[in-house]
Amino acid sequence: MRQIGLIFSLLILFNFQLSAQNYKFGKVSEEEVLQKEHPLDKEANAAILYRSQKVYYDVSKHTGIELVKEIHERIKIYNKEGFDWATKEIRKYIGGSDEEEVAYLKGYTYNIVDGKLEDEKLRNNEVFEEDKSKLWKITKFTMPAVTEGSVIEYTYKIKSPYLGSIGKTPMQTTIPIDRLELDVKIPEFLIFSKYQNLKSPLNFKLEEGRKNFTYNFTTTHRSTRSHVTQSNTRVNKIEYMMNIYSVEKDNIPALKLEPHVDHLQNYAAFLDWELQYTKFPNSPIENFSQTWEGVAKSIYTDVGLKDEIDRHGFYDDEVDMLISGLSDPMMKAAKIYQFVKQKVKWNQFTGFNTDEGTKNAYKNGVGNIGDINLLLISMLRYANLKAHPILLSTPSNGIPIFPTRDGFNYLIAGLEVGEQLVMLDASDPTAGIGELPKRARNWQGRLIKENGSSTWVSLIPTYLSEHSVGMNMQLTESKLIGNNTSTYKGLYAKKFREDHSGTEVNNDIDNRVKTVDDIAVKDYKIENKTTTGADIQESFDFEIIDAAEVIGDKIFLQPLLFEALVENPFKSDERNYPIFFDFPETKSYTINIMIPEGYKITSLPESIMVKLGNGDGEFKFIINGNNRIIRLISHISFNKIAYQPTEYETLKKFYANIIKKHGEAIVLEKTIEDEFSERAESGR
Amino acid sequence: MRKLFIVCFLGIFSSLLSQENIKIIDIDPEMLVNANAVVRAHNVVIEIDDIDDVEITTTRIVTVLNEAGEKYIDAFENFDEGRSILDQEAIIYDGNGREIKKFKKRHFTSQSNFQDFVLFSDNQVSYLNFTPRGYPYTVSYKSRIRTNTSIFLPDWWPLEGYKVSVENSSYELKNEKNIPVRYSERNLEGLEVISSNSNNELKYSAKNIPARNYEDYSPAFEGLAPRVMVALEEYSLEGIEGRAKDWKSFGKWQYENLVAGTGELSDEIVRTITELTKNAQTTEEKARIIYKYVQENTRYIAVMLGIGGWKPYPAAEVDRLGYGDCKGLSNFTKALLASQGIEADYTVIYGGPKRDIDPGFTKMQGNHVVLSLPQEGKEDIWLECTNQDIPFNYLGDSTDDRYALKIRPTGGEIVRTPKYSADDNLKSVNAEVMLNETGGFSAEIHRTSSGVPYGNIYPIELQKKEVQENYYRENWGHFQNITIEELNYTNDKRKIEFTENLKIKADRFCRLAGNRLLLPLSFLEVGGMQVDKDTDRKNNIKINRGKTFKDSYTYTLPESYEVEALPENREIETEFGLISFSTEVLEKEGRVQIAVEKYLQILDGEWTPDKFEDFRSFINEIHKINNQKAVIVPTSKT
Repeated sequence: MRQIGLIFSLLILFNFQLSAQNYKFGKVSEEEVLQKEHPLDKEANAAILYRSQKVYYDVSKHTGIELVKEIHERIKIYNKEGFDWATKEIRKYIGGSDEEEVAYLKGYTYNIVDGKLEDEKLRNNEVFEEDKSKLWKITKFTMPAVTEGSVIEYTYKIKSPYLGSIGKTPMQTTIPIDRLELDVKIPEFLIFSKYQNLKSPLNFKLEEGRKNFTYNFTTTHRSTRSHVTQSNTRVNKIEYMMNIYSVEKDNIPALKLEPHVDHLQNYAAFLDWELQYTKFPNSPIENFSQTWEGVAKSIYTDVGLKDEIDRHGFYDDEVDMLISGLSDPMMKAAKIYQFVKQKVKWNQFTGFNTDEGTKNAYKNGVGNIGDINLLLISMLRYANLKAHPILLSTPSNGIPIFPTRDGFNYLIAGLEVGEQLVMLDASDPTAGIGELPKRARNWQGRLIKENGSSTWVSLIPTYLSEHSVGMNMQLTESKLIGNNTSTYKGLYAKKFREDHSGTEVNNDIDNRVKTVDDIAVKDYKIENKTTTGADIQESFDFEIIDAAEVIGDKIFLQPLLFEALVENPFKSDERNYPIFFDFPETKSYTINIMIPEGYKITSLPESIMVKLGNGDGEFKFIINGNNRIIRLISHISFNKIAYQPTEYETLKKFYANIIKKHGEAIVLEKTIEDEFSERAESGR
Repeated sequence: MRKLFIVCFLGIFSSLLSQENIKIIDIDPEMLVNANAVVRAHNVVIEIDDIDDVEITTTRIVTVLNEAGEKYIDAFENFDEGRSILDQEAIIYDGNGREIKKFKKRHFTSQSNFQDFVLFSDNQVSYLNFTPRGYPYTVSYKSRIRTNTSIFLPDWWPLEGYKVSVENSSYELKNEKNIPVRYSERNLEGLEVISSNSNNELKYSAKNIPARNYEDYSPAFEGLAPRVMVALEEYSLEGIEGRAKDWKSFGKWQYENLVAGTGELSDEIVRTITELTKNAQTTEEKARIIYKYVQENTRYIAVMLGIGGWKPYPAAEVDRLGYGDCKGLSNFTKALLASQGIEADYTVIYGGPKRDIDPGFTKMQGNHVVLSLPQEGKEDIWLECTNQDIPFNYLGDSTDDRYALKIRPTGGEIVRTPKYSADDNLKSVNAEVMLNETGGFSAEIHRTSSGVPYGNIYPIELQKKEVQENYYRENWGHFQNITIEELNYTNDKRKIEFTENLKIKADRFCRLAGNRLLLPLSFLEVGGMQVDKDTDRKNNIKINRGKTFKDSYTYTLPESYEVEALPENREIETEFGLISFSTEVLEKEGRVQIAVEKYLQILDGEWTPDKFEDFRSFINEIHKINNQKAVIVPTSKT
């Protein structure tokens, strides 16, 4: 009985604590302010105690229908590192004909002062509006009286004339969210599709419902009849269905930060909303997007890609001249590709659509991705080549999972030559035909044919790009002299061009060999450095003082010198996100060393061969010595570019093996001076 | 009629002429050496119509030779309420001098303009947004602005930086109201400068200044660059007028107009502070308590509106908001100190790389404010009020060893902030390393930092555990696969000493060589200075701060291993510093140990260019010593 009583009172206590959590605006509790650390994530610098987002449509007499996003956040700040959470920036799009607006902003900071809960109000003159650019304004504020332990709370509405712009509703961030509520009410006139980020392992249950809704509004009708103006006020009534979606979730963990993860937000949980079609009373259905086929088609015809591609005239003479006398399609394509690259420079803006229009871009010599590559496609077609636009999404835009227009933000050209599909991107000065910049090598793209039909094509390079290094060197007791010959092929050559496109190239090679002290590089030669698409050949001679450790009568030499892989790119114990390499690659080293006269080989590193997974990669290290010649072959290949977090450990070990072998030393030992005694020794 | 005609004709003529000259082949080849850009012309005309009415006309023609040269185009103007852009235009020419594009005022892009750490400022910028098709090209830029602030008259900097040459640069100050002008020439020797100055008007021009190369370990550009500093004796700052010709009177004006009257506090906060400090024995103790209070109750947020860019937020407002910028927080702290009868001076300084408030020329300078507390018979106490974690009386490398301006009720006073000597900047490492047969190890490491190194390391204490661990994994890449078994910190804010205590394990440290192991005798990398060969050194060698590294490592060899070879003990002393290195073989519980003692001191100072090779060879010797290895082998079984 006694025991039951105890359990019973515990329950009461527990219940009491639950009900003490009041998420109404302004009902911040003392317990919340007194909390010292996050109960589930002790390392958290701050936590969102409560986030509510309501999305609905409002009708006002003056502005018509508008989209409202109402946000309420209560944030706990545990320590100074969490102070950044007290500053909030709200972006408003102002680039179109109408502007978005932030309204009903209010905020309070709560502290315990002398044992009492006190609040400090965010005042209007502490809220600023920054003109960020032609497209964006930012409403920003920082909460007053924030110290370690403060709880801040604010609420605001974003009113938008862009009815389809619900966009992403965030459900996870880099601090824990204790309670999240999302409530979206959409009248039946607007049909959205929605998807959760599949890259996030978190699951959210989306509740859906429908409700009848009546909207009453009054209209005043004014009529003037024979000098008398009469006002008739009428009450109107619209009845419609409201689609209601809601999410409620407790204890959402923080998105884990890890080094070497680009675009962390791609892994956060969110819901994305895309307008499919609208069907307003007394209006026809206006279709936006439903299937990838439909999305692609609507981009091609409605957005106007087709028109841009068909537009020519302004370049005909020049292109005619460029390809006159040429019949081979690849040669024609190469000429045109080169021409566009030189003619129009990229202004760093992405987008599958034109910004300036192909004609203006051509005239001004500047354009966004859409301008440049649509111009390229247009010219290729003009030259009777089978060129097609390929829509894609850059890594910063995420991988397109659900059919939406926003799923794409980039466009390249695909050229059909016989059975082959060759991809081109004229925005990248370092890319040859068939080579894409890294930003465009993201999973798959949608190729649109002339009739508007479309298919997926893979953007991931499947061929191996090769970098091979040959070194011949001669070691003496005082120094090492040698030469180095490198060949860069495929995307390795392209990467080399990217990395070395800067202006300070003179001492570039010196920087690359710097891991070795006291090295002098001579006779540096490079071929095809700027000829895109061609293999790069590089060679130089070098001389190193103290290349080897001469200790007593022994010499220790690490034979890969400055070419050795010395640091494992994977340093963390664990990994939560996938790993992506740039492209399938193979790197090989062939090294011949002549050792000093009067020395013999005492020991060589062991030769080994290691495989990664099921043929995903391979590392070979083979070394042989014969009299005064040592020959070493090291070969590394990665056939696969995407690895799951579960493969992390294997990958890390694979690298560790390479680094270990690359670091091992050859040991040489002085033989007895004259030939005779050497023979005597060997004859023993 | 006739006059109009002539003006038109002249206009056409001059534009034809300039177009001719704008070709790249017109540039003297000497001006192309080392240059990423060539300033063909930079002409500034400043018309002082009144102390609160200044018009500045800039004409600037820059040929950009490559991407790195784009930063010298400088086709932008800042504007705000008191500063408006009257005219702005640009014409782009290709390498042959053909016009490619023309930008009128409305084609310039306007946007807010302030750094990330500022929450809001009303300063905006209007800039030329142009994507070049290729290089070279030339930008001819003209602008006219009008401002009500004459306290920041532009100085003349004929040379604008490294890797840029200048064909023509001119500077003209017109001053019809004859407001007295002060000016001061710096580093003009060796330039072809023509000047004609009267009491109230200045005219300077220079021609054909070749590009200079950046050299490592050079004195700061500001200190080397040719410059004429210019100021008016009567001036206006956003409508606040003043008159000063020396630091004393200028400081007094600043005090009276910007600082005075901003120190009032509520009774409540004064009571709190009085209560907190009532048991403190000395004023220093009181100041410590107050400083701690400020650190715990404020944070850095900058909002700069109008005069607010120069005037601190009132102390009572900072108290309520719990935030402020360097001015507001310093002023708030000053007010709290004053409430307990402790005197503190609002002190203007350049924060960041070492840069002086020029003691010899009075003009609005500085970008930061700190507090200095005068002490009877002792050095001042210095307080950096924008940082919530920094120790009391610690400046670190952002404000050490430079001239600053104290703004006191009695007037301005130039002072120098404390310097950290080579001995002060100490980093010492103690490590006990247990080696294993496969080249890995486990180790116990204690690393203590004081002086400037303290300021570089202590913020790690506030980071999350995973960030801390990643710091070591990323920085100690020469160990493979580090496992961090223990990690804690001791932060002694009184002694200003920070110690990192770690127990780690790693898979590889020694290099395998058959059955031998090559054991690096520098456990953690130190020094990290790199000096490339330079047979044509032009600038002095400047080491801004001295530093000292004291390392002692004990390596315990794997069982049944012995030492086959050890490098010799060494000691090198030069005018640049000292390095000594010694080893000793010991035995402990049947295992062989190698004890390493290393001491490295790099001195601060400035040396002439002819010493460069000596300097380089000293740095190389340090590298060699740091790279020394011992050879250890399994004991041969007999």
